[in-house]
Amino acid sequence: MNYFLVLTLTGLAAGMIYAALALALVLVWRATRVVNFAQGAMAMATTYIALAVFQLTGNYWFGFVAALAAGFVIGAVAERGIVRWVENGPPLNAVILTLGLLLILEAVVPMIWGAQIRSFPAPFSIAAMQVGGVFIPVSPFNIFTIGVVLLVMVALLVLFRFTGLGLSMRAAAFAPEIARLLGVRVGRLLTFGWGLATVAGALAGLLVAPTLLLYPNNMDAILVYGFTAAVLGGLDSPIGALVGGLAMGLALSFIGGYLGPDLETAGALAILIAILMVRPQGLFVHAAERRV
Amino acid sequence: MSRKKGRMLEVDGLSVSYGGVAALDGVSLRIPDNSITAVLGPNGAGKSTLIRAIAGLVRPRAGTVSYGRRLLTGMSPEAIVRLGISMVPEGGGIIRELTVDENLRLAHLWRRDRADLRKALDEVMALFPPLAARRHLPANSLSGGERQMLAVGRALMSRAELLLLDEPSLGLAPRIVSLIMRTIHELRGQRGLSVLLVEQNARSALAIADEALLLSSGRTVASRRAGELAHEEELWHAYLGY
Repeated sequence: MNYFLVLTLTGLAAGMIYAALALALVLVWRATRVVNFAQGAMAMATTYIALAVFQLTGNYWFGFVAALAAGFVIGAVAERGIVRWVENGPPLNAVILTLGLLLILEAVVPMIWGAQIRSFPAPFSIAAMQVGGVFIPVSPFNIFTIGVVLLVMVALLVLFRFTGLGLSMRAAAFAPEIARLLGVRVGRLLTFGWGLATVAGALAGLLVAPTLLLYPNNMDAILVYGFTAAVLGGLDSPIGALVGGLAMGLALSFIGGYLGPDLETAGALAILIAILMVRPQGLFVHAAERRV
Repeated sequence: MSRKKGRMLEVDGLSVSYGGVAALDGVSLRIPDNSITAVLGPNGAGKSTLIRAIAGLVRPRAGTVSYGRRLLTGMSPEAIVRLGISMVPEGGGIIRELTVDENLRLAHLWRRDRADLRKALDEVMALFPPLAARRHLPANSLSGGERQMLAVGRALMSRAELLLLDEPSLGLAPRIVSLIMRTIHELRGQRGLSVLLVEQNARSALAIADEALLLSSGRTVASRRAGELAHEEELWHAYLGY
C-alpha cells in the first residue's frame, strides 16, 4: 500500500476527530460569541466519566452515553453558571473565564481519578484491517469514528435547517434582541447551545482516547488542532468545521509522515498563522458583516 | 379570530435614563382598545425609548406600564410578546440571514400551533403580495418597502392585538409610506388592532391616528385628539422643525 494513501486515510480519520471538537467550538461561538478554551478539558473530563461508568458496568456503550449526557450537563452549567454573568462585559472576560475553567478541570480531574496515563476502551478494533490478505491502513474504529461524526453533522444540519428549535437557535445567534421581541427565549437557547456543543466535544474526547490514551491534558493538542480547523472554517459554520477538520487532519498527517511527527504541533500553528494572515474570515463565512 | 375586548395599554409616569441622562421623564399615555395613537417628536425626544420600555427592552427608572390588568414593568420582551403586544423596531429589524418565510415563521413559533401557522402565513401573504413572490429568498434581497412589509407582517404572525411601530416610514418612498399607513389603518378597522405609532413624519401619522402625543426632550408637550393636533401646525412645526 502506497505511503501517500496510508497518510491520507489516517489523516481523514484524525480529521474527523478535529472536526468534532471544531464543531463544539463553532456551536459555542454561534450561540454566545465566545471561544471556549475549556472545550478540550471538558471533553477530557467527560471521557473520565465514561471510563468510570465503563469500569462499573463493563459495557462500553453505557460509558459512551454517560459521557455525552455529562457533556450536555457540563456545557449547560458552564453557560448558565459562569459565562452568563459576563455576557454583557468585554468579550475578553468570557475568554479568560474559559481559560480558568480549563485550569480548574485539569486540576480537579487528577484529584478524583489520579494523573497517571490510562488506556481507554474502543468499541471496535483499533488495528488495521486485512481484506483478502491485503493490508488496509484503516481500522474498524477509524470507520466508526468517521461514521459517528458524520452522523452528528447530519443530525445538526437537520436540526438547524428543518426544525423550529433550529430556526430559533439561528435567530438567537444572528439577532438576539430581535429574536426576543419575536418571543424566542434566547437565554434558554444559549444554555442549550452550550450543552449541545459540549456533547460534540465529549464525542471528540471518546474518539481520541483509545489511540492517544487518557490523561488530564490529553486534549490540549486536540484543542489547538480543533481551534485551527474551526478558524479555517470561519468559526460560524458547522460545514466549515467539518471541512476545516479534514483539512487539518490531512495536513498534519502529511507533515508528520513526510517531515517527522515532532513537527505536527508546530505545523498546526503555522497553518493557523497562515489562515489568519491570508483569510482571517475563514473559508465558509456566508453572510455579510456580523457584529463581531 | 377570538379576541379579548377592552384591553387598554396604560403608561404611567414612565422615566428612563441611560447612564444618568434622562431619556424619558414622567411620560403617561393610554391606548384604548382598537385605536391608533401617534407619538411625534424630533430626534432624541424619547420616542424610541418609550416604545422600547413598553416592549421590555429597557428597564424604566420609575413609572409603570400595564396592559389590561397585567403589570408589564420588569417583564422580559419574550414574555410581553406572549401577552399580545408586538413591536416592530426602527428599520424593521428583519433578520437578513434568514429567508422571508423563516422570518415570518419565527414570530409564530412560540404559539406551537401548526394549523394556525399555515393560516397566519396565508393571511400575511394575502396582505402583502410582494412577500409571497419572495417567500423563499433571503430577507437580505428585499427592497426597503418590502422589508417594512415583512416587519409588519411578522408582527402580525404572533396574533398581536397591540402593535408598537417605531418609525415605519423612515427612509421609504412616499408611495410606500402611504401604503404602509393605509395598511395600518385597515388592520385597525378589520382586525380591531390597537397601534402605537412612533413617527417623525407627523402629517402621515396624524392622518390615520385617533390620539396624538408630542414629545420633546423626554417630556410630553401636547396630548390631543389627532385631528386637533393636525390643525396646530405652529405647535408641531416648532418642535419638529418643518
